[in-house]
Amino acid sequence: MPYVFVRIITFSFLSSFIDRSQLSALALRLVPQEPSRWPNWIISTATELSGAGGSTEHVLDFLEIAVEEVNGADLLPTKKCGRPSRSQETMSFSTLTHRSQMFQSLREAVPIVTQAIASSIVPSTDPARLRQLYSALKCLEAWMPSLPSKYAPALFHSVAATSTYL
Amino acid sequence: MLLDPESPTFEPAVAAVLAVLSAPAFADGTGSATLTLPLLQWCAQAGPLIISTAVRDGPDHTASALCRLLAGLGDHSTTYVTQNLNTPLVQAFLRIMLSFTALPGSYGVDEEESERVLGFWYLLQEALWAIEFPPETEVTREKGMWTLAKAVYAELVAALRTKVRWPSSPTGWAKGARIPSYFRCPKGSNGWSL
Repeated sequence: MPYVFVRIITFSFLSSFIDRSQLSALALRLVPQEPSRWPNWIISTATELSGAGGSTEHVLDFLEIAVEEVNGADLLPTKKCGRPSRSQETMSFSTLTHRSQMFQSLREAVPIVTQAIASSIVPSTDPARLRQLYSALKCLEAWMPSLPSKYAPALFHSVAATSTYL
Repeated sequence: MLLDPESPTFEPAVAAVLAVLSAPAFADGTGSATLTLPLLQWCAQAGPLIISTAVRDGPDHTASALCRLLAGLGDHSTTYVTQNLNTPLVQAFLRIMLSFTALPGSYGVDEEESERVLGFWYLLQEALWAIEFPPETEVTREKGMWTLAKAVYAELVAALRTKVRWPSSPTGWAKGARIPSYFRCPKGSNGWSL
């Protein structure tokens, strides 16, 4: 995936030229190919988003949508996605590959996602910080089913540590 | 403060905690020190005030969120609750669960919370049957557990009896809504009659 293209996409995302879920849909097309045309797409897009002046709230929204799209997509090969397959056997094999490639990109993003969430869970009365907090909680909700046990307790602690009686 | 009933962040925080409780990372009740104990402590402190307001004025958004949180905690920590029926924290939790089961008014008309916790009583009953204690303490601990369980289910049956009573001025809604809770009643009394 050429770097320029990534820039164009993130710019479009920030200026709402393309819908957020369209971005993930594009990734679902581009990532599951051999070799992947867009490796580390979650990390690279998130980095690009914040580099291009997107707020943390935007990055968190993107991360939430990314995981929802990947988990919700039935990663079946279509004409545009992967080689056209004739037999049932090849189809199930390539579906498996797509799935594992997309899940791999989720796994790779886990450390930065947990960090982004944990650092945004800060009680505040400032409206902008509150919006960021709500985005972080939504993001946590969306990522929880995909989090390895190693990362899950830390996120719960970030909620618990900022709560009364907990 | 996030999980503070007074704060606007309460409901989003409850949703986040529920996601944690049902996460694969904490499947089968794992993480009792990380999750169950702190949340039970939280419930024992924050719960009574919310439930007494809900009993007096009818459940509001806060009570509804607390009810979701308790139901999620109950689903996650059924085994922990069963093994620790004799501890004050678990008893406080069960008391709030009973209060939600027995919320005044008709289900579907005045409140929609009582049905949400019914599944827990069924899970608890299953867990009571399945539990195994270490052989050396088995007899005494089992005896103690069943005494407590009987007391809990006696209160549950009393609560369900009031809930399944036909309303004085029945509406079509109330009639329909009553039936599921009525049919769940025998499940509760099974555990109790033991």
